[in-house]
Amino acid sequence: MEQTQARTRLHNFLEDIRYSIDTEIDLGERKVNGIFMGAMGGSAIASNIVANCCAHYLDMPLTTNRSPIIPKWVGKDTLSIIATYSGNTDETLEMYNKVKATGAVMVVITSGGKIKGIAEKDGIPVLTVPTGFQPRYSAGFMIGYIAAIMSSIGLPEFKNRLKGCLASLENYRNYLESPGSLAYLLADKYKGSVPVICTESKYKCVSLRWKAAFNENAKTICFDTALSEFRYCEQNPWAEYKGKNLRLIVLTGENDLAAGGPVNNAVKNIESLEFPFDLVAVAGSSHEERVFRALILGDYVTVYMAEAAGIDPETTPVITELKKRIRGEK
Amino acid sequence: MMVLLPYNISKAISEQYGRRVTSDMVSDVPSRSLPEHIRESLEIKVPEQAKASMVCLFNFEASGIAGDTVSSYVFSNSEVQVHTMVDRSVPAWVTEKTDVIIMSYSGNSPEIETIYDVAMRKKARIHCITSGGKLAELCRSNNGNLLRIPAGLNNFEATGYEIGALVNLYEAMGITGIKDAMTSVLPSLIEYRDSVWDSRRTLNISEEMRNRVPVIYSVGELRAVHKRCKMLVNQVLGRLAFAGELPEFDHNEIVSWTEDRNSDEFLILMFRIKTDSELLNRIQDTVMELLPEYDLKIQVIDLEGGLMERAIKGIILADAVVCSMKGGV
Repeated sequence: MEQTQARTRLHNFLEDIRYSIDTEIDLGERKVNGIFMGAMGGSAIASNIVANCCAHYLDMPLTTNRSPIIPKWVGKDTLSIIATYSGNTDETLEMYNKVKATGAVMVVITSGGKIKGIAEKDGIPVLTVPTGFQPRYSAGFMIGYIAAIMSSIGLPEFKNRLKGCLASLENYRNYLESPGSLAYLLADKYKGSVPVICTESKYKCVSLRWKAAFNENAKTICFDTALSEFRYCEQNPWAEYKGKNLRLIVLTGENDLAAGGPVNNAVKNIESLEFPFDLVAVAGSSHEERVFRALILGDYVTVYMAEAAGIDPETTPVITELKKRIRGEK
Repeated sequence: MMVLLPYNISKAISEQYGRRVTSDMVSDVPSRSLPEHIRESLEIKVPEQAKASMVCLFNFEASGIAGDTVSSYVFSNSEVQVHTMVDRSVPAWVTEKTDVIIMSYSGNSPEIETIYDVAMRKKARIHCITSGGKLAELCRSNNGNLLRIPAGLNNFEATGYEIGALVNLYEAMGITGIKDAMTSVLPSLIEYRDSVWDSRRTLNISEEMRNRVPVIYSVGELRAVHKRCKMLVNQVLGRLAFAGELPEFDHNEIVSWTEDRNSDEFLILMFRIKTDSELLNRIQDTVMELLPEYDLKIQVIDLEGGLMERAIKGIILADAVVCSMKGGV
């Protein structure tokens, strides 16, 4: 298959961040003590990415909720960001109604749909994402908007740090687009396999994104696991695994490979068990840069896999069918 | 610069961290007395604590099963925020106003010293649930709040005691009602245990799992169940297993399940419950109706009861299934 539309969306990911990150948002003077983000699927991953990047400096928790059931602690002192690309995601609409009833400070990110009309009627700020592509390709806009929202309540660090590494990320993206890049190499390597992505929790957003990208772009089953859990109970099962399809990928930052560190020791232990695996260690001058490099890499790998297999990475008919049935439509 | 290192090389073992699971641990089997262990543990008095508003709960080894079971009640019934961590990362928002709970049955998880040190420097209120080890030593020597649970159990046998201890701790921290809620479901848990242990249902699930890699799905409230099930398969049976959650499943994972020919290797185990959200209930039902149309091997397990009760029933069923696979322990 020739180059797909998905490739254009990937290329524009960083431009999408630039488009939205400096948006001015007026949320008034209310103080908040926690950030709640309600979203599903491709719209939720932006929240996981921001939360992973900020965990070591953000002075309040940023929680991602992927269910119509919301925690009872959401209240008037919570900043609630509700994101649905289509604006019609049923779970997110239910979250919106429940959060609104708590009196939380709210912002909506969407391309339109039902939620846009409802939020505008309710007087809640709506940040608009362009229409015309799959929700997972809207992550750039959403990340930029979340950074802008946080900045508007006096938390500008993520925005500044992300802006500081965009130029370097663009160079990395350009490298991945060149023939023979690591993304092409991995796309070829994982053809026909079932990848299992293993990370520390600070890269959880990357394993989630890779998993979803393998699932949706490459139509490939993929699992993820935490390094701590892997160390505790998965090592021997991997050593005993007799199948050929499952392939372990330990994904980490290059800076976490220092001798004596937990990742390095876990890797040595895996070596000792003698089953094949890959170590993908991402370079970068900050945690944000490493996270975003890893995210971009996974997106390109999976789109290249799809293109090599003659699959359109954008189509997901079973999701459309499932949503129809959930709504009772024939 | 990106480094990719393909590994298939035999080298010296590093035992210091990421230790290899020993044969003793592989023989770990859960106990059928989990409800009785909860009851026993609930009877232990925990002195009243300062009222909590923000909890950072660190779970290690199989302790996450108890942590997730109890936290599901707090999520829906209390304004206290509970944020669960599974490794060495201590979030920046932890302060002197935060209650840090460190739960590790052995007390010797490699991350413990780092976490304890960071939590101390941040002047957080520290509570430890453990049978001993480094964690008990640190907690004692730094005047933390130590909740000891019996030593000499395997990690799966410890779950009941950990659940009881955490319930007591939350109650003492001002999350009222949780202890009564837990106590009130114990008879139902015992009845359920007696009905499923060695039952035909349990044997059927065991048979289905025997030659396939189980992939366990449930709604987020039952995280403890899919975690328990996966860890049991990993540790007791020494086999791979994976887990995931609904409704996230129907936003991306379902695509690969219905299009990837590698799906033959797996058995999908779906735990289903009736939640307070009609939408979530409909999603569960629709997913389970749709998947068999794609020739996927799927087992649906319905769990009844309220918060915590249905999660613990799922744990009991998983224990019974794995014990039956291990040889009727």
